[in-house]
Amino acid sequence: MARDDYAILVGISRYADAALPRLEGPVGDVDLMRGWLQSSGGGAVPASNITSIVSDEASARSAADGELPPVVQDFMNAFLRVVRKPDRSGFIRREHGRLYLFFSGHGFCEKHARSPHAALYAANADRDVHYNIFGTYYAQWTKDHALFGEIVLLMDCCRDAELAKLPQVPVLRKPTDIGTGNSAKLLEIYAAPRGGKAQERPIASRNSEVHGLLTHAFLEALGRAAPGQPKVNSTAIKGYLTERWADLCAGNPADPPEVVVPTNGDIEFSRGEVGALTQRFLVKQLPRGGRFELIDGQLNHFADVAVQSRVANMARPGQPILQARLQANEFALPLPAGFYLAVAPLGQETLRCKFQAGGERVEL
Amino acid sequence: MSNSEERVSVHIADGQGELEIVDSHFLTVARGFGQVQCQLPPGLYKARARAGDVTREALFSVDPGGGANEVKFDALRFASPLPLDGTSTTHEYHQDAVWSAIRNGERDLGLGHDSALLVLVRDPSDACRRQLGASAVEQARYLRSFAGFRLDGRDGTTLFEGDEIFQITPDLGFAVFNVALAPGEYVLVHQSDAGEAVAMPLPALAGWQTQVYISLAFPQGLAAPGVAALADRALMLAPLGQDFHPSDRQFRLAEIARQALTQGRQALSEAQLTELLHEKFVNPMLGLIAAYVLLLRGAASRNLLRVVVRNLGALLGPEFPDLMALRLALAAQEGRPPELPPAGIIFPPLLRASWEILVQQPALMPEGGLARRVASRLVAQGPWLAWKPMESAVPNAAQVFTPEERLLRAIFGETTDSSLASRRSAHADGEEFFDLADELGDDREPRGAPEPRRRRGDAAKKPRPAARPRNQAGAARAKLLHLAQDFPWQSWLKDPQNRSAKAAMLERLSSLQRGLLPTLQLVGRQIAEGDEFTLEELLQLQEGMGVPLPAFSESLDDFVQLAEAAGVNAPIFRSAER
Repeated sequence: MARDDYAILVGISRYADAALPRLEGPVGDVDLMRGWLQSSGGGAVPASNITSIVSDEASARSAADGELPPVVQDFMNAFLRVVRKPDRSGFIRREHGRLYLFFSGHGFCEKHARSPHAALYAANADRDVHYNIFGTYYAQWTKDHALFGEIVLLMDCCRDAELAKLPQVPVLRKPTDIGTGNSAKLLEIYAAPRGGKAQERPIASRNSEVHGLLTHAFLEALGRAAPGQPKVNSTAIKGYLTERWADLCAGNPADPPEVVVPTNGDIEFSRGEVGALTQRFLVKQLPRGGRFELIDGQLNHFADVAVQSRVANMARPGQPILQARLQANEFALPLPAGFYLAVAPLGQETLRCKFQAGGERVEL
Repeated sequence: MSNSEERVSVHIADGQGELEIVDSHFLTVARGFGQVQCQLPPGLYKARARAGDVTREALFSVDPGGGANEVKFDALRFASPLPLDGTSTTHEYHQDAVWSAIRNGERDLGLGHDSALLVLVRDPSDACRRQLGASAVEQARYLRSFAGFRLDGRDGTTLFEGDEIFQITPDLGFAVFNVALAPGEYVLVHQSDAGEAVAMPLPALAGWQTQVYISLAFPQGLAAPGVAALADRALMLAPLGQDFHPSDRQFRLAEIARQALTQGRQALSEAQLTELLHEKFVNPMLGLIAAYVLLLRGAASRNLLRVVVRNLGALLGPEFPDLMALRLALAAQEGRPPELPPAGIIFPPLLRASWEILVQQPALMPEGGLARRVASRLVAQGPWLAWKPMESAVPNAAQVFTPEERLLRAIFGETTDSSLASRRSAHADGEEFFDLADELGDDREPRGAPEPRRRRGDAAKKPRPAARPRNQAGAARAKLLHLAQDFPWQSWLKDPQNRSAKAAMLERLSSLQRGLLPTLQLVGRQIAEGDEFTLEELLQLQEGMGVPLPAFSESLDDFVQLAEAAGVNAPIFRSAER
């Protein structure tokens, strides 16, 4: 168990201002993240070290209430409880610990700023007083103070350009030695590029529950990036999110996330079983009884697939044969993330088709 | 399976665009611009080409012993406000509009010569054709898309309204003007149909034409006037009288670089940078963009940056604000003290990146200069610097206080006349009182009624008396505490009776002042709970908001006046809060 790891998860779905419409995903996003954080094959963070700050979706409290929770102070209090000594004599340094800061809801950023950043609107924000939690600032402040060895910031919120709004800078004492945070690693993941919009939508693989697309994609990356590796690092997660984003959007495009990996070394995430992606195939030219070979990204033999009248059988070396049903000439096979080449002999010709697992349907 | 590497070549047809090669582990193995040549082990790879808003991808395999591998991409047609060949939003008639405006020469409005300003506002969509068959109301609405522009001198005097001189051709979706100007600094102001005003700095250099290209967007079709995409505007500097060439490679290159910089990417290769810099004598803006790309690269490109800065100085003049910022950044990279220009920065820079460098040196912004005045009024506009014009900030009926009244309010935070009188009598010794005023450094003259926007020919504005700079931080803290403790923001904002006063005041607030509103309430709560708000915290807040301390302090002054004029501290609200 990662005893020095902590997490603050914020999910805001209800807002005081009608200009910030109600969201369906944030509270569920917090549940998803907490589930991974607490799992022994995931974050392995002690439950007592995880703070969740979420909208009370069942509350009868009016959205027009100026103090609709959660408010900025709720986060600030939770943050100070984690980083500050109980007697307020200073801050607690956890050199080998990791801090997760997760935010899901409506957000914004200043489009002009060259450095990536975002802020999450508090529930009581409105057009006049835009209370917000400047997530990037808290993460970077924590790094500057080296209060944790690793900080993971996930902001599953929009980063629309705002003409007249500034992220709310918290009044936190800066470190006197600017080199203090050199060794701390900070991974930042934003749901959208600066000026872009994040999206929530029903996720088929999660029983059609509505979740933030980034939250879903990040958890998928933890389980599927870098196949064959017992751990996955921040660079691999970035590559997975970049290359798989179009497929994750499933034909309904969304602005891609911005990932800032640490410059002083990767952050590694433990994980259990590595998951596979579902790759669809359509039988067009290949006759029934035909076969094709799957070759992986290193040009090594991966599997042989035999297509029969009603099933397709995939034979991988050292593994039991996996059978997939054919429906309307289509079937699906589980493949680890990466690029593949399907090679099918068709009489005197050879059909060669390159594809990325989990992407568009492959026609053979 | 052989592990020998094979030669790979990936290129874009016109040699313009970012390139990336990714392996099957989704790791980037090669990068370049226009063309990438590398050696890769056998395997499957993805090549990606990107320019502006366009991305293309292609999977390819490197076979052992297979020889050279080549991947070709067609030229990428990205969106640009410049009507360039090979972009997705160009139209020949827009190209003709620019060409004709230049060929017909600069219009003489009596504003001087030796420089010129060309502004093209264009609709890249088909809205211009659709409005042809639309109702009169929709056509009038479409026409308003091109309205709202004006040019001011650096002293705030309006030189001309765009509506008066634009050549508007709604059927082809463009408005253009080309005006002769004396070299100097100008401000382009745009007021949207929704009433939001934004000001942008525009330099006019001797022998050069400043060209501004702005696209319109129609998110609501013809149901509303188009929106000027100011953050995505393109700005070029061309030799006076030079023809417009829509196939200009350098313009296209500069656009790719500008859009990549906006997204925080360094798009250009060393070869492309060299090409840009070689062509800088044709368009100094390219040199500026290239310089910022070099700055992002740090030590690796320092020598080249030094050359660029020197050469740009010969073109733009040593006091060009963006150039001063680059020199400061170079000095910081080289670890030597900066050479601050004696006169400071009077006029704001073009680029927001330049501003962020300059603002680290508050002494560079003397009082009275436009740069200082706009410091607390900046608005987000992509890579460009922009601000909310001042005339929308000053209240219609400012409450005027004597210096000592304002000082007393700042010190003691009380607003009733009787309490002021009691405080004043307690400091009957005027010398002692003004020693205290001096210590706090807040002894400027009271602000008078707001001055109306002046037209050219009006009397020049008198400069404000200089504030004594001592202990500005202490004074700023006192003002912030005053705002936090003596103005019941929560009850005032929530009161349904004062909607119009609230709307009027909020409209006049700068982005910095609006950004302070939540913090003021939190600070007020913090103090009510027995915590202090220290000087250090004040400075952290000011630094975090990216504004020099003098400008921050002045902004707090304005804020107090606006709030008092709006009646935020009226007794009824104070009672409600308690």
